[in-house]
Amino acid sequence: MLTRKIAYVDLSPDVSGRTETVPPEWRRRYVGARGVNMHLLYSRYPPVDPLSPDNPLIFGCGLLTGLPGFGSGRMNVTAYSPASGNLGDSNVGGHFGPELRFAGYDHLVITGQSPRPVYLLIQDDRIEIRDASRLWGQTTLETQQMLRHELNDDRLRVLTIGPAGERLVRMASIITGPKDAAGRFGMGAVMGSKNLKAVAVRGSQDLTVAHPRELLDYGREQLDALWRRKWVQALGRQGTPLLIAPANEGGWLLTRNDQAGPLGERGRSMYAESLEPYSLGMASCFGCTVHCRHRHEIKGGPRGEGPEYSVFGWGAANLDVPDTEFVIRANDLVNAYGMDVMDTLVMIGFAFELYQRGIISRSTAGGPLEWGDGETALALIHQIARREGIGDILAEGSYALAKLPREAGPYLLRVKNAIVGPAPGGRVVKSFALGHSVATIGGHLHRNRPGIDVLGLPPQVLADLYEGPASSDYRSYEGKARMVWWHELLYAVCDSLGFCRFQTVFNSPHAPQYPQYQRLIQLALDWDMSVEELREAGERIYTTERLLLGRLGVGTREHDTLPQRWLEEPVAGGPCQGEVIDQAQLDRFLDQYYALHGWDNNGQPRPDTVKALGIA
Amino acid sequence: MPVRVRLFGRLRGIVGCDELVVQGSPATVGELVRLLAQQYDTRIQKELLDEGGDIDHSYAVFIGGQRAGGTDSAVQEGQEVTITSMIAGGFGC
Ligand code: SF4
Repeated sequence: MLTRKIAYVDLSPDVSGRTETVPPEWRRRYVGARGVNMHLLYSRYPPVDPLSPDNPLIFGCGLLTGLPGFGSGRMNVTAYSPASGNLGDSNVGGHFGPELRFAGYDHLVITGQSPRPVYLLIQDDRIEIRDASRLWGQTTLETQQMLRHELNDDRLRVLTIGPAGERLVRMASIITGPKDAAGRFGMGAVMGSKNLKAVAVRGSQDLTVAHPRELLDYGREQLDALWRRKWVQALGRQGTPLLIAPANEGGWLLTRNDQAGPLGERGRSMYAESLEPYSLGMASCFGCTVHCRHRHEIKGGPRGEGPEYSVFGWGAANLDVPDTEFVIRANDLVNAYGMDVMDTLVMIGFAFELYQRGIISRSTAGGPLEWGDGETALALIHQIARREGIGDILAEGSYALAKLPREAGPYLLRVKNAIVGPAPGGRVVKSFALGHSVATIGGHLHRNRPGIDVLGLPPQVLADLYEGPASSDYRSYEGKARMVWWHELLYAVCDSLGFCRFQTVFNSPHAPQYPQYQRLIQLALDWDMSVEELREAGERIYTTERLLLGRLGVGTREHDTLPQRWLEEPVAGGPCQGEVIDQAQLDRFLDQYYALHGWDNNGQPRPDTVKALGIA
Repeated sequence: MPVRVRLFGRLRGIVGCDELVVQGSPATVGELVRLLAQQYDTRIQKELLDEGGDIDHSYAVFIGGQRAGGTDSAVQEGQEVTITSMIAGGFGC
């Protein structure tokens, strides 16, 4: 814990690797995981074609990944994104991150390209590049099983791509376990472009901490406090699918690529209770007592994990297939092929809308693409992963537009060329929508997702939390710049520590945040890091990401926008009918938001801000 | 006029059924919760309300398809009430 290493591996023939101690000042200033990954990318790797050997694929563990509690099994995978052409960064849970730390490494930077399929085996100080020809073509689960069997080690932790990553499907993910995914932004395609099938790790080293007994006591105290919360117990019982009910009843879970209103009564058949006949109990990532994910089995079929709320939202509601068994099958298929569940299902909904509008013909589509047809949706998942028929076009994600008629453009909802899709709540929950316009990885909810305003809390609770006024009406624009900015900083720190979002101010205002982090850092590392210093680290990380966007040509105001549908088409039905994002309010939001970050009115970090943060 | 209350999420697990019918004519959510506790299970009130007596933020109450803002939200005759678990979210994860 006190001294950590980065391993640099180049897969090109005849290039040797090296290791380096993570400079202590990097850890102090960028914390770890996402923060240090971004610093590495910014300071050492200029933008390149994301599928070229020079694109670094950076795996980074958090400063406190591997400690008991707080959902500390998380890490980030960062590279230039083949999905958007811009910045790619994906957070993954499970058990891989802690194991990499037990092997002695906090970061792994992979460059180059192997002439044949290989995998990386890390066993403490030994890092080997091994032949993976027999693994090539296998699903994500098969690959993990084969490696465990071959190496005779049931506790081997593996990050792997599936057939989709091998075929450079732009939304390919990297998977560990049945479903933990570095899912967004095509990190699996980057891995595939290097001919790297998997990274397997086994570590036997201790994580040394400064004050072990006090750390354990404090960790237990915090976990007990967390577990007493009703919302944590609800999450531990039903997982994220508990959200289907309020989202459908509240009218922000929309259908048909955001064209139509909510499912209403029909949607009730897929509320979280509908998972019970399939459930084998709940599972957890490393270091987590919340256990928010379902283990499931369809009779006669394989076992799996999930599905999360997102598969119900982007799959069942979006495609108008309110059928839980369809959702489970789609979830398992996408994970087996190693694709991002959201982008894959969004591309299928996009294709359905193009067919509905006559923009693509039956022959181009390979048959009818009708809303509500789950079997066709499942067939399209196979086709995308294998790049067959129309699947070869859809596998290009945002880049599919180059191969489709021009009229198709507005129906693929994007920000900074990253797929947003019909994100439930996109026009309704204003803080959430506005956050998409400025997220540093393109329109993605996880950079800043506020949403505490949907809880209907007294305004004073929000004012205290955000240290300034923020409306507790989720349809209001007031104070939402402050909310978005506040969450950006907190999440940058949370990710960089290696903690799970579900155990910070994400689902509830009453969850651990800076003061608890400060204490944990003190007990683990003996560092006195003030709340202000932590927040400043969050600002440094976020501003570094914004500077990277500047280098990529998308870091200015004109790129901070939202999909046309959210700005021009009001919600078509249900309790939120008529909701839309007002352009003038978006402009006002940007003015306030840039000022909070210390960026100029065009959205570029001011030189004095960059200097004060010490970004170089 | 009886009020039909449909339960999803944690409260369904606590009460052990998916639907309750409240006898009487509660005018507000607060009265409805009190009647639910009286007629079915006292744990309902403890579970649904926070220390200040308002709807706990781990629950959402919908009346006739609209989200209730608090315990003083009106319940109209013939409206269906739906109670679900709630965390911040429902938009993306
Ligand atoms: S809350 Fe869920 S996602 Fe987070 S660490 Fe725990 S099991 Fe993993």
